[in-house]
Amino acid sequence: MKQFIILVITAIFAFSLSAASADEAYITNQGDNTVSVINLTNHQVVATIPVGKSPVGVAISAALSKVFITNVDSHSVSVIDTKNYQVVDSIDIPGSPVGIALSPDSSTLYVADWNDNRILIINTADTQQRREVSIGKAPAGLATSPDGSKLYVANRDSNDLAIIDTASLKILGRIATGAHPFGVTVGPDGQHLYVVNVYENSLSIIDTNNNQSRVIKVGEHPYCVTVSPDSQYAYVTNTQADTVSVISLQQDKEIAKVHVGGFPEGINYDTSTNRIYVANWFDNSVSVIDASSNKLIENIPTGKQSRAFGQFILKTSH
Amino acid sequence: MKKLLALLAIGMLPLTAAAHGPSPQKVEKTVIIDASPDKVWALVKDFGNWQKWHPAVESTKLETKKNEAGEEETLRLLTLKGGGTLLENLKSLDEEGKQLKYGIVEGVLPVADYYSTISVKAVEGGKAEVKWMGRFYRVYKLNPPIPPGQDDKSALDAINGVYDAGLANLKKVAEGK
Repeated sequence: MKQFIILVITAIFAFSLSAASADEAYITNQGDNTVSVINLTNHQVVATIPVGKSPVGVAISAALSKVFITNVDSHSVSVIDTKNYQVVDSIDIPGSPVGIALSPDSSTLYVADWNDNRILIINTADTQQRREVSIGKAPAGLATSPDGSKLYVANRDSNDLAIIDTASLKILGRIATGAHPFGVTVGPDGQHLYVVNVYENSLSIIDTNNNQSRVIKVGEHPYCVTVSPDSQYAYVTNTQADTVSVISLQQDKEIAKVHVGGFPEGINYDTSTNRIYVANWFDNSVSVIDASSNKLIENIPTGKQSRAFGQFILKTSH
Repeated sequence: MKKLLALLAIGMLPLTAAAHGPSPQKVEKTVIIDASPDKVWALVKDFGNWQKWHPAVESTKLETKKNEAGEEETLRLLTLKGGGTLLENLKSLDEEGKQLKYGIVEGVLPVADYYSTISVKAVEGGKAEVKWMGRFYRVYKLNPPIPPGQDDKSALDAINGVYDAGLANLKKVAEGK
């Protein structure tokens, strides 16, 4: 009985927490030079924030209450305060910043400069403190290991994935992927890397224990990938098919295709609502997919040429 | 002297400008046509006969080839009225959604990685709305200075021109005027 009461109280507490503050999606709009903030409970756009020129990448820190946006055409990173939706800082980046990721403890920001083939490593507490590491051609997607010890880089024009030791900045290895790897994410188990091969219409899944990889066919000209919290499914945006491939990671094959908006790019899974959010470059919108049914629920209008490349969901409920 | 300094300053710009990688460019055009969507779609989906409605196309040679993946692919070689050719591939044809997707393999337009969708939908009054969208990069993808004619503006101007002229004449042809 006592246990039951504790359970009920816990459930009520959890519910009130999630009701009090909703998760938010920060969507970059390349054509408007803005970021749309979407409340993931009611799907309202709660803010539209002017940033630099041609924003692409997103990295989120709940701990710092900050969002970092790469502006490829103004060579900068805009820093947004998530409490008031204001840009509070702009970090100059030499070159063309695209991919962006944070260390799990939010102390370090990684920015890929895909024109000069390097990664900038920036101290978030003092953005003048920087290091850099040269890497393969056109570094695109970035991701960090759950313990923060490794940075993974998809080198688009070298057709491989680099593993960098974040302490020494040594390149520990380069694993061959398919042609033109772009989006990369680390699975929730921390043991698998998911890399999207644009020119091969495929997804590479790399086991980080032995660096062995397997390849799964997806749709036309794929860009980005996200994985369900139970590691059962991967979701890949197929930019030239206007679909999301739902991949069963047990069966290693596509089990559903969900029609979304035109030219879908960035994709994230929201663990609170069990929905998948997709930014559509052609249609200026975000498509919402229900993970339990693999059905499109809604298209939310955003700004021009939505991209949302990276981790764009701010978790406020736990 | 002041003038000279200003000139020098302008001359310095390409050297001091930061390294640059291009962003994808977008062109989106729509036209309302006073004809049935079926009639308009019949013109649009006929991949080998765009010379029937696009004023810049002189003739089309249609062919089917196996691509690198060993799949059958439909290609067309457009000969343009002003001279020059464009080799394009059909990516998909959706009869139900009345949408055609294609790309440029190579040709005279100052664009790179060009991908396009053109779709027809029914609107009020039995009319058709045609939407033509393109995504592409400028030709020159490296650091400035950008050679003349290979910049974002040249790419945008070319595609805007192709879409504007094409849709205006598609309207004329479909409306029988």
